Amino acid sequence: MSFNETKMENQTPQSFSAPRHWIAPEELNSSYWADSKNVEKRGQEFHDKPVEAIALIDKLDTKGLARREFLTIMGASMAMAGFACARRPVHKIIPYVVKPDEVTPGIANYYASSDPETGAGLLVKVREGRPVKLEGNPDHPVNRGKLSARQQSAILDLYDPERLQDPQTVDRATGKKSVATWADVDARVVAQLKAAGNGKVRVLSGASVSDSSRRLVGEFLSAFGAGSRWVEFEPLAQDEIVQGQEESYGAAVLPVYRFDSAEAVVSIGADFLGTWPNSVQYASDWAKLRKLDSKKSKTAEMSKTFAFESLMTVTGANSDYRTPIRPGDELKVALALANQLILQQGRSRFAGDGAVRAALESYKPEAVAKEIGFDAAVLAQAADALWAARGKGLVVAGGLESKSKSAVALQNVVNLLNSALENEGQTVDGNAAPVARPSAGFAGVKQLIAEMNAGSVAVLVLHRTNPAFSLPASAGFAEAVKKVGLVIQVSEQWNETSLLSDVVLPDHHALENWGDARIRKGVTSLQQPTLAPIYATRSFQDSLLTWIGQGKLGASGLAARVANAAENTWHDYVVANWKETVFPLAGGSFQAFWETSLRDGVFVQKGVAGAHASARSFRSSALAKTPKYKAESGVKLALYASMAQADGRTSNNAWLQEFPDPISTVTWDNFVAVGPALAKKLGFSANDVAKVQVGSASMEIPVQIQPGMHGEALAIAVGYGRKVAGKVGTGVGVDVFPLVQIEGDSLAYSGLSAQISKTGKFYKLAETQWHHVTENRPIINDITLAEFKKNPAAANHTDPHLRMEDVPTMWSKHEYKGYRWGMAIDLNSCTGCGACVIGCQAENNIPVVGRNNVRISREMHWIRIDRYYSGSAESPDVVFQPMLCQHCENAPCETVCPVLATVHDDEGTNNQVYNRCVGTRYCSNNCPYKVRRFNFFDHWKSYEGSMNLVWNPDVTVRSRGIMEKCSFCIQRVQKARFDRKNKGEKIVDGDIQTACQQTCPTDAIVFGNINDPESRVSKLHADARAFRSLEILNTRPAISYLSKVRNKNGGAAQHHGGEHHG
Amino acid sequence: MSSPGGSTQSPSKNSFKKQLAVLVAVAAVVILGIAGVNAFPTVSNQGYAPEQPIPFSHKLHAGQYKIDCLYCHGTAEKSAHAGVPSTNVCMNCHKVVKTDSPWIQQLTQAYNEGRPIEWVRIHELPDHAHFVHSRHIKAGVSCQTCHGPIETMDRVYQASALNMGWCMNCHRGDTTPPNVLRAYHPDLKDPKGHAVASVNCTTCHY
Repeated sequence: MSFNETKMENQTPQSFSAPRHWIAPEELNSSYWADSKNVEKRGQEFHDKPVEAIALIDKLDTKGLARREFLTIMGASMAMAGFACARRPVHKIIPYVVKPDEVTPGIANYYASSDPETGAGLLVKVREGRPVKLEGNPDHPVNRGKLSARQQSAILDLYDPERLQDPQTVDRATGKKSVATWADVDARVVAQLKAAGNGKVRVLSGASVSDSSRRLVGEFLSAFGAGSRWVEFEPLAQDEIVQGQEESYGAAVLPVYRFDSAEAVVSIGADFLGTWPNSVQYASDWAKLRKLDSKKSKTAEMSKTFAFESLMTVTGANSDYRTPIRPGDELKVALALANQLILQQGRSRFAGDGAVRAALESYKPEAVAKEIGFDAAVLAQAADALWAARGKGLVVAGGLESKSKSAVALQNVVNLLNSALENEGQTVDGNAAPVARPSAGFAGVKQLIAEMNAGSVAVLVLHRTNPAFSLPASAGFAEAVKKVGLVIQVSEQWNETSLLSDVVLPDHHALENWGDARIRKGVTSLQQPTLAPIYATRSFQDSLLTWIGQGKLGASGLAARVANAAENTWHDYVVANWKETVFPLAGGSFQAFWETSLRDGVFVQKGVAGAHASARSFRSSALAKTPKYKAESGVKLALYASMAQADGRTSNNAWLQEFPDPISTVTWDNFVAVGPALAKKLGFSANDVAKVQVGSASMEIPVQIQPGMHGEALAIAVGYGRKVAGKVGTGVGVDVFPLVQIEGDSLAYSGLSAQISKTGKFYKLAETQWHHVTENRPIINDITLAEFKKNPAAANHTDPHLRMEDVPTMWSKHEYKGYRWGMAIDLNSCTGCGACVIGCQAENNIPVVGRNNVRISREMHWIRIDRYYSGSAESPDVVFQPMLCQHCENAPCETVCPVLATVHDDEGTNNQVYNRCVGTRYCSNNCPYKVRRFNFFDHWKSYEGSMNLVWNPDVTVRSRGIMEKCSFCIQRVQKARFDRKNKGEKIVDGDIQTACQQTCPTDAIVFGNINDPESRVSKLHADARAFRSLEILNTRPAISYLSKVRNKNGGAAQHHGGEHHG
Repeated sequence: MSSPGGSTQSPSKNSFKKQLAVLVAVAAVVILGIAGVNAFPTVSNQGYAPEQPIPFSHKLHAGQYKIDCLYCHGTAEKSAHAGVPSTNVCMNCHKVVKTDSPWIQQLTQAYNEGRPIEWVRIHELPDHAHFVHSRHIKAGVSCQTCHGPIETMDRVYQASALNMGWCMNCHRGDTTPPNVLRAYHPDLKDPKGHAVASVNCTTCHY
């Protein structure tokens, strides 16, 4: 395994020195890889320490049986198997009594639905009546067939055996819960509602994008007099954007950004590619202007992205120029940028505006840059790029990590910039938001808490919200709720807030429920159930209708009509509401309209959806409250939402817990991210535990040293440390919501003054970044746009004498007479978001192994996102590389398998035959890409009860002791083959999409037949940017990567060699 | 690299005896196991003919009345699964045919109560082997090639071994029905040794 004798750079024929890609800052020490101890340590592919491993086996695998005892029993049962009658256990075939027409056993049906939280279109793959996979709906104009990692993982929540299964009543004094019947609960609720008194009912829920739901809740509350109101609260709400829009332009809307025409993008603490609610669409749009064709390299153009951010986000990692700042500096940076553009450069129609001048004047770019510690030239560059692309540029801000007390002021400056740059009405579309809706910020909850304290709330209905967890304790929710007569929680899960409720009602999962969603003007998504409720659950909306009907509550409008009709379900309500509100936009017959909408999953109103925006005029008065410039110092903390956990609502989802964070690669925990400079100053090293204090609140949390963080910045993800979540989620990580500060009517998550100190304790984070390392072999290429224009193949710094076309080989070449499957991955499009990882997990029955197993590199993901840094530790460049089985033609794994369990087929794929594998692990040992995964345990056994319904029936569930790896989704290849062959046809390009390709928001992954010169994958393989990973090993992979291209000044070599060092 | 349990101790005489005992025990298990397999040639379940909850006769339906296999097993040409017909397919005829039979009365009762018939599974491949009926039917393989003289069976039994070697014999061309060979390789004079169907591992195993 040792590989330190050659430095590939030395073999480079051109005067081009490759940037040295590194995984962690310690590698920047030139002697790191020269030390054989490091080579030994990092080269370990099976992190076995025998003692630890045996301890694990004893503990996990035999479920309490001592190992010796276990082997004895095994021996006995094997002996008995030899003598037993050879008849198999009797299995039954239980056919339908009356088979539904649309069901064919063995063939999947796809139903269009939508995700009620984001409004994204879904295609639900249903096998014999059970959903097994979520896919994006290609006909949906917002997410266009793509889903994020979180959206992909929702299927696991459906089958979570710890979902609430029956109504519960809780004794709030003792916390004792008991199972109740729906009839009893309804009677109690109806009685209390009737006795509530005028104006004393409140509904508190997460933000809702469903028009039908909004109407129903409004009508329900109308029965309880004025003052009874609906409060929406989302910890991750983008309410600061909405509020800024209102102050700048007059209307409280969440604008739609058009990244597909934004040639220059400046993000100020906005993770629009990662954690924004519509990141799938935005990433897809953004990547459209990053696609390159080497044949037209001379005239190639690419968008330019600048990021100023306090922690390393996916957006920053993908930007061309990334500047680390302190949390809370976002407003200063935005004002300095505006000052540069409008005052210094005298550009735009605001140059002569007195109010604008007054606000910007004190924010001199040099002063701000000096205070924060970056080169002011980047502000000038950003201003120039934005001005050059005016009308086709974009400045964005917003998100938890920039939600400091000046978050709204930041939005106003961003709005000023977009108006000054004529982007308003072009790339910023304030008209596409459907209707003005509450922004789900803190103000509503604050008022609600005051009302509860005043005793003016008799009944509180909670839906899809967990305020006991996500509000800081200082908000006083837990105290206030004690004064409410009846607290009803409608929830899928038992959570922290359940303990404060009187009645906890089990809600349907989204895949069991009807609904709709409108997130754009003219685009209404329809949500339909794809299976009957698994448990005795009832949707929130059905509960409201039941109470209205049973109690004769006197609700207004449609709710009263539906509740008192014979057909009185939520389904009937949705149909009636669509008939009244959506159908008139379409015309024709309602039945036909409804069935078309159900089939398509979305109704798109022609001429309205995607219509051209018009510019709104910016009110300079919005800048009146801008504070004067004042330099600050001291360590500041940003709280942020992680890609996996968001606000923690899905913490019982094991796929998401084991999803490696795209940047830190940490699973199963949150941590405090500390930059290398600060870590050095405070003496922190990896796995130390720090004490972080904000005001009077403090907590202990492990440290992760994060390159690219400012020297006075800390960052911690929210959504961890759930106390009441379930077997998977309870107690994972540390809850940092208590650090959130209340600033008037809003919450400050960022720019918090913090103290950090050592505790002397250690905690090993389960991070995957050092697993499966390539030991500094050059595995990835990146260049700048200028270099690409000169020579699109410039990144291909593999020695031409070792190009795989020419290498002599001792193996006879494979012949591929029919198809030959291959893949191309565009590193320039890959944002590292990890949607493919969860898509693959769902498709290929990949189990979860748990934190301890991840710690010893036993995670099972078939596709991983390798993240490499280059440049300095303080401000590195980042490149992501999806790494999966390369399906090598000269596969090193194939030659060492003693039982021929891994073999090459005549279509170029490397097959892993589970039933032949005896688990020698030689193949994994010999694999230079480290993409093989070994089942050390029967991981599938951790899928309990209903969770077993999530398995894809087309893929074998693997047992202990065998090797597995990416199969190129062979089951999808086979399906396409059968479908075509049954019709006597050949597979054509586009028939097969692998699971990773299908969900990739940026179309970075292309799969197809490389024997067909016209296929997309063939053309990409022939692109000058294409390179094969570790080509010098002559493995001849079937996957080509396309080099990453950065739109920044200076050659990669110059940049990495000089600019940042020293 | 080391495997779990890889720590070694210098064996004392006592532990050597223990190891010997274990070795003998393992050898005994293996030998007896092999003997057991040989003593019961039906380890592949060939010939397995369990009693069914309703003694449906293929001899009567397929043999005497010549009802097409696909009338009941309709998904065989569309899907991987041939499928056991749902009760409503039986009732298509048995609403009027032979309603005096106690078995049909049982069937009708189950149908009316919405209770499925729990047939005993005869042909069963392991989970890691994916067999696709539709491809074989489209290729012209008759049902009897694998299922034997089903039209003569009063009670269905497993006619073929359904083990991997048996599959491979056909895929390699040794036992392939002539009509299938003709359809796929009309110019092939001597099919022996030539693959007539894919023998890639992933044809079946994934």
